[in-house]
Amino acid sequence: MARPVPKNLRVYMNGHDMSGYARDIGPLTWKYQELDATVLTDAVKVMLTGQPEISPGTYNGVLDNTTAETTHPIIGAGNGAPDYVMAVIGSASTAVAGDPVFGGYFQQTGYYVEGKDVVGVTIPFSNRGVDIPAVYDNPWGVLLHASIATTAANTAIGIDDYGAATSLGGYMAYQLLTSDNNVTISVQDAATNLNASFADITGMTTGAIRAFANNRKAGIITLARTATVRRYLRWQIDMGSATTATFVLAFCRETRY
Amino acid sequence: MTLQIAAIASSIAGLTVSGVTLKNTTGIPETVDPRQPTIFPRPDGFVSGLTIIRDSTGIASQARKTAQYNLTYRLCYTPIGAGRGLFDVYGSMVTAAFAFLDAVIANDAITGLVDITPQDVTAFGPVSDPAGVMFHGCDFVFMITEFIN
Repeated sequence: MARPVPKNLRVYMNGHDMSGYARDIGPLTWKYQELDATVLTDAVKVMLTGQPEISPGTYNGVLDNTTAETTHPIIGAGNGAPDYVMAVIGSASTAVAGDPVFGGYFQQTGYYVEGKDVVGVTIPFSNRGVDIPAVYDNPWGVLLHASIATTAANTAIGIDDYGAATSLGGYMAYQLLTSDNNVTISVQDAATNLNASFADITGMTTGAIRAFANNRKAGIITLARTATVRRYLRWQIDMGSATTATFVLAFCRETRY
Repeated sequence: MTLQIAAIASSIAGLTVSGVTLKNTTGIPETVDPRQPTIFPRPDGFVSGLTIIRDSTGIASQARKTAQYNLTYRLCYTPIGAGRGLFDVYGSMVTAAFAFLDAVIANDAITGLVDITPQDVTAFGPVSDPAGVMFHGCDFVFMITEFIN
């Protein structure tokens, strides 16, 4: 068993790697509303499960305003708007495919700066932002591609995140940190974990995107709730005219009806 | 799961520090080559400060535990008096010492452990090699954190 430690946690926001500024983030919340359905003849309280609250909690970091893309310009400017947030629970100094990922599109509800030992920033997040459909109530997926510079398409085998194919859909979450031209990031699946067996999951593609300075890219793309996802998963990239791209990609396979 | 001291010591010995030779526990010199600055596990006091804290319930072979202990390394840079002046090489020794610290602090490839944290740099000045020859050097104390199970 690999036990995570805080230093291996990675936090990405809107295409920016905020890990080097983050002191902590959380609690990563996935909490269902309890609806009281107790009637007079029940011996004990009876609860129904309502809609969940999903939130990354509070981001605590170090204030840095020395360059254009650090905590103050990035997070301060985003106050009051939703952010694409991804927290990777790494089990080693470099996150690997299969590591758990908490991700979503969350409303940033504040921006606090306070100086104690260091001048720190505190960013509270609320629940899901309204701009994208809330199709899935599961914020947890698996990492497919860690934050590593990539120069070519993927020809490696994938991961087995669930042990079987599913037909309950899912979604991909991506953070494109850098690219020197347009790239297309996608999720592929396969019934057999061989390079030749992998094919794009229809719809699981970013289309051509590029990370510019002060305009990085992040997003969530969903499948239909009945979409089939085969057993093995891997990342894929069409480099196009780009020679390098650094991105983080996760996939949440829905396994619940 | 066993403690990973051998892998940790081997991984530290595998770091690259310009102008300095790093030794593993299997290569501690009996006499340090005066022409080659050397960092080696200090034989008298290599491991110290061991604590093991239980993190979960369960029997001994299954319970999660956290082990912490200190490892002490010694830098023998140049024999004292080897230059024309007593402190000719002192500045270079300081540079080499901090280059080793930089290598440890910034390295993500040290295997076998959860974390390594420099705790102290002691005996900064005259230190002896295992044969008793006095060198310009210092001792480094690193705190190691390992998970058991």
